[in-house]
Amino acid sequence: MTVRDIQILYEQKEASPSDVVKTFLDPIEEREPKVHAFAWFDADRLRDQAKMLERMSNAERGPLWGIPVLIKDNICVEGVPTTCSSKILAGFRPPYSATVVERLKRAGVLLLGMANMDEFAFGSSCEHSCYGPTRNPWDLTRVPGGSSGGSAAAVAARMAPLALGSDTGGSIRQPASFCGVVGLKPTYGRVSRYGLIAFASSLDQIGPITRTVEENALLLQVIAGFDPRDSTSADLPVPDYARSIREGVKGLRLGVAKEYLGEGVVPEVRQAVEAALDQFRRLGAVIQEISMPHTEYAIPTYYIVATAEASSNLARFEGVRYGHRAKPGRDGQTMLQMFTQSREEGFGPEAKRRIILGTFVLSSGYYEAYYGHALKVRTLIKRDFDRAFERVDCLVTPTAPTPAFRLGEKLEDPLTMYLSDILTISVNLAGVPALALPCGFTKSGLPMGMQLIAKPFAEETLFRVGHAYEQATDWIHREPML
Amino acid sequence: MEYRPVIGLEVHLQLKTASKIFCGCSTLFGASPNSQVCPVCLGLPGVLPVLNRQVFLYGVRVALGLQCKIQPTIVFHRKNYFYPDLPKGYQISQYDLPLGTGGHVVVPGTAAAPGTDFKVRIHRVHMEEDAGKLVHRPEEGYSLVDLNRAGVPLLEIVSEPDLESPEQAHEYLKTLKGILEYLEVSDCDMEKGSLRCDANISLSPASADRTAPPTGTKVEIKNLNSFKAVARSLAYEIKRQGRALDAGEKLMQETRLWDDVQGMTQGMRSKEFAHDYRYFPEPDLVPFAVPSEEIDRVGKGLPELPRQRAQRFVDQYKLPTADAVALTSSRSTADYYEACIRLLPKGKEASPCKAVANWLLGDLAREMNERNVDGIEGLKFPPGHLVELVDLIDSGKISGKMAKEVLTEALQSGQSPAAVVQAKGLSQVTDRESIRAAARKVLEEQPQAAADYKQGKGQSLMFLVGQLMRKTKGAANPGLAQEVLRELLENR
Repeated sequence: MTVRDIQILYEQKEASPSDVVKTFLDPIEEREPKVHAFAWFDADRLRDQAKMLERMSNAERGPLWGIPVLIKDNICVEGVPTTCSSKILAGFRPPYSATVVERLKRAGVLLLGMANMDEFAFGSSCEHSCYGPTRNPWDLTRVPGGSSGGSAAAVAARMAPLALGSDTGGSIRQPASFCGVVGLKPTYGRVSRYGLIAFASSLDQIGPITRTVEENALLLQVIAGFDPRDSTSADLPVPDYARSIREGVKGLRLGVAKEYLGEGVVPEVRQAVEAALDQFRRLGAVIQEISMPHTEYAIPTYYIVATAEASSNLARFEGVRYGHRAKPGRDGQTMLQMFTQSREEGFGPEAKRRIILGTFVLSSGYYEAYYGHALKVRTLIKRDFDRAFERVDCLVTPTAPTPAFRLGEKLEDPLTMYLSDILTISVNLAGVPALALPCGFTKSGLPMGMQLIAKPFAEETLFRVGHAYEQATDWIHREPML
Repeated sequence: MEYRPVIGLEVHLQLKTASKIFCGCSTLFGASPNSQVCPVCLGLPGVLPVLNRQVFLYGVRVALGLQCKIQPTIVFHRKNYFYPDLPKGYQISQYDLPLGTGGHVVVPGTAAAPGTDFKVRIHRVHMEEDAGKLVHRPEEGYSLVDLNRAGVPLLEIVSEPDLESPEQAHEYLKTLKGILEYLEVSDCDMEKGSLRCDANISLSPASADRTAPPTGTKVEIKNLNSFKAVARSLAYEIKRQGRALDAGEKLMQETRLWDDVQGMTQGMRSKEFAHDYRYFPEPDLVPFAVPSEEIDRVGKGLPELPRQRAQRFVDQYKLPTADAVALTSSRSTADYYEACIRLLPKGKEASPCKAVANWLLGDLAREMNERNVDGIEGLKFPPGHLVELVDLIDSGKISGKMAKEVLTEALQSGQSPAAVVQAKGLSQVTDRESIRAAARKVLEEQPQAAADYKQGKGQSLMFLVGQLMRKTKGAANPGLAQEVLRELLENR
């Protein structure tokens, strides 16, 4: 059921939120054991929420009244375990809700549960979770991508109509691409980060993962906007996305950068994107070649900036106030032992790897060579985008260089894993918005994704271009066989 | 060998904003543990800081009051280290772009060298958040964490190493505290921890060029709970370092803790502070430009500062410079003084102005010291009472000597000086006849002194006056006593 399907049922009084909850409980019961998209789920609580919603008067009912939304396990929901799929936050129930969650509640949604993820959003496969891996609904031997793998897999498997993810280097877009759904990384500052458990503060954004572009716009409409609790959120009005979404691409200038179609992008993906460009030409868009010369520096730059911030952001998990605390040994426990043992036991290997990397690049004597340098390159990458958007309205690239890979395939080789974000991370470094949407399937039936990138706060353009393409193709109508 | 101490001081000032620096929690001192906390200052997962504008404005006020230049762009950094009182695992502070730089404070001369002003340059003034507090329970084998103080706004005021003696350090702190009180941004209360000080000290050869960078090994002293402790610890370190250098030992760059009871510093285990703080720009707070109009507005709102006020006291109340400086070094004393002046009867202020100053700087200052009260308000002796006291003397109702007694009694009982005089029957005897009667008795009792006077020994008169004062228990007006005695002797 799409959001619109549910809303029509409500409008015609053919169903209540309780009924809708029932219709989602069945597929969840049936598919969740196979896909394992949830980090936390409580059917009773869901039924209670539905009853609460039903008691609301018409005037109180918000724009997403009675629509189930799955929340990534790193976005705080008051009273609900929010753990970043990490042992170190085992059992942590925040005493407050993230701003996006507050906004969703005001819009009347049903909070469906918490979605599995790579621990602290460190990963591109959803295998680094203390709850075990999520599987790709299109092929259960494959990963759903990550880190928002649970969110994307649940939407693809029709267990949730809408989901929230977070994207630091591609964590919404790459799993959206692997799972054949639509994911948006909004402009940095478009959506409040208050209540999002930080990975890399200067790169993180919360964004919607949905089946269609229109639903994506609908969800962004609710969560976007200035938040006085987040100094990095933009104090700018949020446009009405529904108003411009149907305007088509006629006359729009779409840019293609050769740096995004180079080696590493497998032929099937490249062909799918080229076919999409042909489609855009037929729809009346103008395709232009452009250059993004600093793209090759994006990965090293990203892994310095992101790990540096992460090493500091994760310092608060030391067992003093919440989360996992190591038990004292027979000889008791010193303060330092409490810190180190709790962290040793609580963090998984990828989290430790990134904390060590980040600590190193900020160390005295190395700061300038690594972090200082990375900040300068980041400026150059941003400038590439500024220049590109002087000439085009939107960039078209593949979302990921390959379709979903197999579970375990890259787990032992972190560098190869890091390269699966090669096409998405520049966007975070530059702070621009990008939309990932399905653009075809491989011969073996795996979804492939296309990424649209626009200038800051031009999400309207992304929705407009994405919607035009979606209307002209029928990828979104395919369903995984589960 | 002769050494010259090279001393710099780091002062941490708690700003008295109603709420914390990055959240809306109250900053009130003394609330029950962990009652003034929220997700932000608890450092819960997912929270973000938002700068309290008042902290920035207070910061600018202090920086301008210390003659600093204001940084055109405000940037915060994270200072990373693990400690249980630091909820986020990092302190949000300022690093290479502090709020204010390049200021100075002019310190009036020390007691050893009065009247010789010296200048102490201010290296930097920056904003940061305070940490929480640990309460250790060694018997129970655990420690408790109180995060009420976590996120309380601090200004760190770092001087250049321009101080050369413990006395100078003490005077600098007094002057600095005076300025900060005038700026009304902090309670400046060392006992409550709203003003804290760490000292840095090294020794240079006395012959070394003052303009060259100091060459000695720098030692940081912490755990200084009063200005006196600062001076004492510095004196101790000067001796300790001097002895070590004389013995050819190599000093360690280290942090030492002052033990006020034993009167000595002790090295901390170096492991505990060998931090690499891994400073980097705080990504959760956006750097912002400071509009120059904003600085101008704060600058125009600055109050009259101690030096300006002292000059005005000299001009307006005709006080000696030393008195004016002493009165104005504490804002509360200066305010008290001016409150007294306003209460003086119109048209005859000139001489009482000086008298009020003398009382404030003399007896009242001593009383404050003895009673260990902080500020004149602590004495419970309102300006009206002092004016009354001065007036009682001025109108001859009591002598200066009696006035001291009256003051002591008034402070003890809380009564006004006039009420004390009345209750104790202390009024000065100005009745010529009763003094004459007493004087006759004195002359009878001291025939030798009377004879000596007759023979031209003028000083005998003073002896006789003293005897008369004794007989009247000090109640006789001394001038009148002398007059009456002379009259009687001459008419014999």
